[in-house]
Amino acid sequence: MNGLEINDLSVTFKTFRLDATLQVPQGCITGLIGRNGAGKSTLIKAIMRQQEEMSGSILYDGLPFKGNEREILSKIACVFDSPHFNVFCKAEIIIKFYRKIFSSFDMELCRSLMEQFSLPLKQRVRDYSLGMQKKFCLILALCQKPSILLLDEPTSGIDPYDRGSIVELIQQFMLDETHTVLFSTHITEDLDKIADYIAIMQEGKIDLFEQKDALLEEYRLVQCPYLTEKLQEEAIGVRKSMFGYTFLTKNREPEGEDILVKSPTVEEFFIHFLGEEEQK
Amino acid sequence: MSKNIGFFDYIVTLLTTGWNRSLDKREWESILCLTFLMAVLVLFGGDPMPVFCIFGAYGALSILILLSLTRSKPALFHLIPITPRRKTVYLFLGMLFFTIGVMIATILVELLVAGIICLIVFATSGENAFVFEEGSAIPPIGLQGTLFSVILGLLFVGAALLIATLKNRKLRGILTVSIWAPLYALLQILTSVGNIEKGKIFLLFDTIPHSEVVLIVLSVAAAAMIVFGTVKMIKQIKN
Repeated sequence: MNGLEINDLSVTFKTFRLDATLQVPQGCITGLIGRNGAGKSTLIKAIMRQQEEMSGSILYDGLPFKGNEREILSKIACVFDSPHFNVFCKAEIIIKFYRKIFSSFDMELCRSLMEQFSLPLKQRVRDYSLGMQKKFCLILALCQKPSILLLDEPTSGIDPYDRGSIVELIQQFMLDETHTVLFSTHITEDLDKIADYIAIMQEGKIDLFEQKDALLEEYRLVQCPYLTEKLQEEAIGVRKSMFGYTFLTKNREPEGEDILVKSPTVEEFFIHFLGEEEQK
Repeated sequence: MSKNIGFFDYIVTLLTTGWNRSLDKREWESILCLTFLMAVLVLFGGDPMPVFCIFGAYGALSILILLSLTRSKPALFHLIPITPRRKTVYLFLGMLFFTIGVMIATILVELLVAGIICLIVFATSGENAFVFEEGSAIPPIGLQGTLFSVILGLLFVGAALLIATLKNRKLRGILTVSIWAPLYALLQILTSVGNIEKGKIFLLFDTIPHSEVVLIVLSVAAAAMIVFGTVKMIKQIKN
C-alpha cells in the first residue's frame, strides 16, 4: 500500500509549474532530492494542502482529502522549511497549542525530547538558533503521533552530532511499518543512512523514482585520468576535473588503465544523474 | 482520531499563531492605517457616524484582519484537524465576536482618553469638564438617515469581504485603505465646506433629490457585494 499517492498534481506560479506524479510506499523512507527551485518545498506544501490553487489528486493512506479532512489532518505531520507558527511565542505556549489541537499529542515524549535536545521551554522560539528551531519543529511533528511524516530540510543547519540524533528519531518513527516518511534534503548523507527510496525532482517534475539500494547497485562510479572511446560510450554524466574524469556507468567492470571503480553515494549519483540530464 | 477543537481555541490559535509571516508589509500597513483612521474618527471626529454605520465599519475591520490571517500558508491553524464546515462557522462567529470585541475596546479607550483629558483640564484650570454641555446631543437623523447609515455599514462589510478575498496582495492593501480614506475625507469636507455641525451629516441625506432611489440602489449594491463576497470567502475557507 502507498502512504501517499500523488497523481498529476499541478501547481502553477508565474515562472514555475509543478507537475508531479509520485507513489510513496508505506513503511518506507523516501528521500526527495533536487536542485534549489526544483519544486521540493512546493510539492510538500501541496501535499499539506498549503497551496491555494492546485489540481490533481492525492491519496493519504488510500483516502482522498475531500470528505476525510479531519482524519487526514490528524494523521499527517510536517516539518516545513521554516517554522509555521508564531516564533514570537515561547516554546511552552506553542506546545500548549499543539496539545489542544492534536488530542494524540504525546506530552511525555515531548518533554523527554525537549530535554534530550536541551531546548528551553521558557524561551521564545525566535531566540532559538536555526538548528534549535528545526529540532523543535521536528519534536512537535513527532509528538503529534502521525502516520505520515513530511520533512522539508529537517537537518539543514544542524551540527553532525544532533543530525545523527534526528536521523535516529526518524528511524525510531519508522519502527511502525504503517508509517510513511517523505524526506526532502540537500544533505544526501542522511539519505545514504536511512532512505529506502530516492526521488529526484527537476523543474517541477519527478525525473526518477527508484529503490535506493537497487539504484546504487545498478550503477558504478568511475574515476579515470583519461577517457577512452569505450568508456565514453558507457559514461553517464561525465564531469571533468584537474585530476581526470568522473562518471557513472552501468557496466560493473569497466576496462581501462588507472581507473578507480566504486559504488556511488546518493550525492555522487545525484550529481552525475543531473549532469547527464542537463547535457541532454 | 483527533477530537474537535473548540471555537475559542480555534480563534485563539488563529490570532496567536497566525501573525508570523501571514501578513506582508503592505497588509500590515493598511491594517494599521485603517485602525488609525478608526481611532481618529472615533476620538476626534465628533460623532459623525451613527451606530449602525460604525458597527459595519468595525465588521469590515475584523473581516479584513481575520481573513488576512487565514491567507497565511503554511500556518498552524491550517493544519488543525477540523471539517471545512466547522471551520467556516468558526470563522464567521469569530468575525462577529471580534467586531463586538473591537467595538467595546474602542469605546473603553475613548472613555479612558476622555476621562484623562477631563482630569487634565480639571487639574490645570479647575474647570469641571465632566459636566456635559446641554444641547450638544446628536439630533435625530430620521428614518431615511438611519437606513442610509445601515446601508453604509453593510457596504463597508461587503467591500471588506470582496477585498479580503482578492488574490493580489498589493491590490488588497491599497483597497483596504481606500475603504476608509475617502469616507473620512468626505465627512470632513462636508462638515467644513458645508459649515454643518458634526453629527448632522446624515440629515443632509434627506435633502438629496430622489433619495429613496439612491437608497434602493445602495441596498442592492450592498446585498450583491455581501452575497458575492460571502460565497467567495466560503470557497476560499473550505479550500
